[in-house]
Amino acid sequence: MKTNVRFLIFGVILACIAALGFSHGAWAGPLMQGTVPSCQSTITATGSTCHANATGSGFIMSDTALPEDVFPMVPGSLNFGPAVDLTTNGSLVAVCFPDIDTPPVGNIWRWMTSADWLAEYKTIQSSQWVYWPTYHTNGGMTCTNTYANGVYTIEY
Amino acid sequence: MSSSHSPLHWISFTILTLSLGGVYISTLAPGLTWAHNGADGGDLISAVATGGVPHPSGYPTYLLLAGAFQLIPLGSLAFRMNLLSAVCALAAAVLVYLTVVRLPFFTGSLLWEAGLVAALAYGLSPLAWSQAVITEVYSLQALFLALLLYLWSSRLEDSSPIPIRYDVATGLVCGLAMGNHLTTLFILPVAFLMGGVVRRSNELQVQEKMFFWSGWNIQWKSIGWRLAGLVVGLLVYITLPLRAASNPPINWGNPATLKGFLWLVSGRLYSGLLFGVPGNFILPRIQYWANLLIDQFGWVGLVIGLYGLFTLQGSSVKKIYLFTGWLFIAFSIFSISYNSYDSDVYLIPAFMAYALWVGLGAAALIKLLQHRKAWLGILAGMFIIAALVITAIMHYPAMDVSHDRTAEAYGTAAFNSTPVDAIIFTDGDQVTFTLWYFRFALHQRPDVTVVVTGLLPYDWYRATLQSTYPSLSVPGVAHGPWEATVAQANPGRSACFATYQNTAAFSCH
Repeated sequence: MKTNVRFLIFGVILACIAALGFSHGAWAGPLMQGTVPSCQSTITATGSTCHANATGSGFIMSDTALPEDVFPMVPGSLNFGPAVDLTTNGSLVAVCFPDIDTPPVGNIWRWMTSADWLAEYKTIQSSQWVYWPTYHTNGGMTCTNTYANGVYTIEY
Repeated sequence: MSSSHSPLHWISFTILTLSLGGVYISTLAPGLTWAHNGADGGDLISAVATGGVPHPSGYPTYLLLAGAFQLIPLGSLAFRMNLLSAVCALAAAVLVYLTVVRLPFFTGSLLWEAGLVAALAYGLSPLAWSQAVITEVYSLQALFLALLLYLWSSRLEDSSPIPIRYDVATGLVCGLAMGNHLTTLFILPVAFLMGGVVRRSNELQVQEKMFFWSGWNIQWKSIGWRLAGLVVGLLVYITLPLRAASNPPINWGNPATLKGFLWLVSGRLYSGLLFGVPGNFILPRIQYWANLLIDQFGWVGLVIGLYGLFTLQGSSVKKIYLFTGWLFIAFSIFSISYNSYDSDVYLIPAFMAYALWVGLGAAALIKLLQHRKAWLGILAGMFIIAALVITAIMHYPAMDVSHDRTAEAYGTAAFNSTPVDAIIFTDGDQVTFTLWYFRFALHQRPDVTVVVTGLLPYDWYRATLQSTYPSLSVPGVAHGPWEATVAQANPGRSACFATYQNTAAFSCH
């Protein structure tokens, strides 16, 4: 290879590394797993925070939900903040959000008239909204479990 | 007098050892630490101290070596294992130096200058440095890689039949490295192909050969001996079921059973992380990778490394760039695509390869300048070393964890505020492994039960809990959240929650 060509490639590679290096990248993303098979992360959106916790061998990734996935407002319901798509992969995944009783954070959507808190999922498989019971933890969280892999849209 | 016996060589060797050793010792963590993504340290230390089995893939080679270091009557258990990392990192840097010194590209003072630059570039790179001062397996892994490079460099221009001891040593190092970290799998192809497959032009000097494809021969005998060495090295895995058989309190997967053994050593728990980074995170990671590369060697090191890559020529040069190029690319791709928050540490082999390039590039530049004016070459060498040292000085505050007591302060405070006979439910590596360290390695608060919420769905973990805490009632099935199920099964015992969400928290009810 001619010297000129070699130095041209040298320059191009150096410029690429410099350009990439100067742009602001990130290594750790939300909901990346640690050594213990549990991951915690905070998703921040429009001032609200939610907390997603994966147990068992599962893990969760989150993305901003597509507009068509955003939970429809239903009369007699409360909803807080935007929706996210949670991609789950594992035998058991628990999704938890801070309790509504702990302002100013948001919570899982629920029916106003029901004593039971409900999470509402729209699964890729069914393309339908489904309701799922939730439970409270001592740590002030409202959680719901899912036992299947897939992508869930959840509003909080 | 050969260059390896010249006074300059020994002066360089001494300067390197004393300076890097001093840097590592002065920045070494005094005890358990979470710094530099070192949360797993508590798991490793506790597993060694209790004869247990740490998280997948079990790290049997590390356990054996760390067991010896825990016998040193110096500081705490955690300090001794931090010391092990520093010793391994220093040995790796020294081997990088020795590897470059015996490369056949240069002669005279160029050799030790190139060696010194490469070793300092590697040893002072923030990633390698960060792992040298905490308890983790990566410094030992770097040592194994450096050992392979050193072994291999002796054969670069030696066309005589490969001695059996070389093949066995290569295989043995690979096997022991596999016993330390599964990423050795990326090293195996080059470790076996280099010298194991040769051009037919060497035909007359080759003892045993078989047609492979046009122009190439496979050295079956050589590969056979390497495989034999590999198998011997892999025997360290036998220690895992032996350790598990004693029912230690830390017994990931319980490898006393075949199912548990395979689950542990295959790293199946983390298989979903392999190439698991979401698509929208690939570009930010590549950007961060480039930033890390610049950060390791500074702009001078970056340019010098590329300079050598594009100017040095010759068959031996091609071989070493082929080997190190594979390491650089393979570990970069793996690290970028592995979906854990600390996978950047897998870049250490890639950066070790680049450090070699920096050394070779420096020698090439010095040689070029020496041809014009002798003093120009000396000046260039001093400039490059000064640039590396200045970069290291800038990194020093971030690397220095010699005053870090955060993890131990958390463990002390948590146990001080834990009621008698309480059950502590943990969530997060930092808090979990810290409490394991205090409970099992330091034998504090024997009345307290530490339960890792994320492990409760696993049969082996519930069995380990039952054998570790005979009085604890561990249900086989969860009705709702696991921690609530365990708490309800043990009425009258206080429940505490240790969590880590950006910061460590602890509360009891």
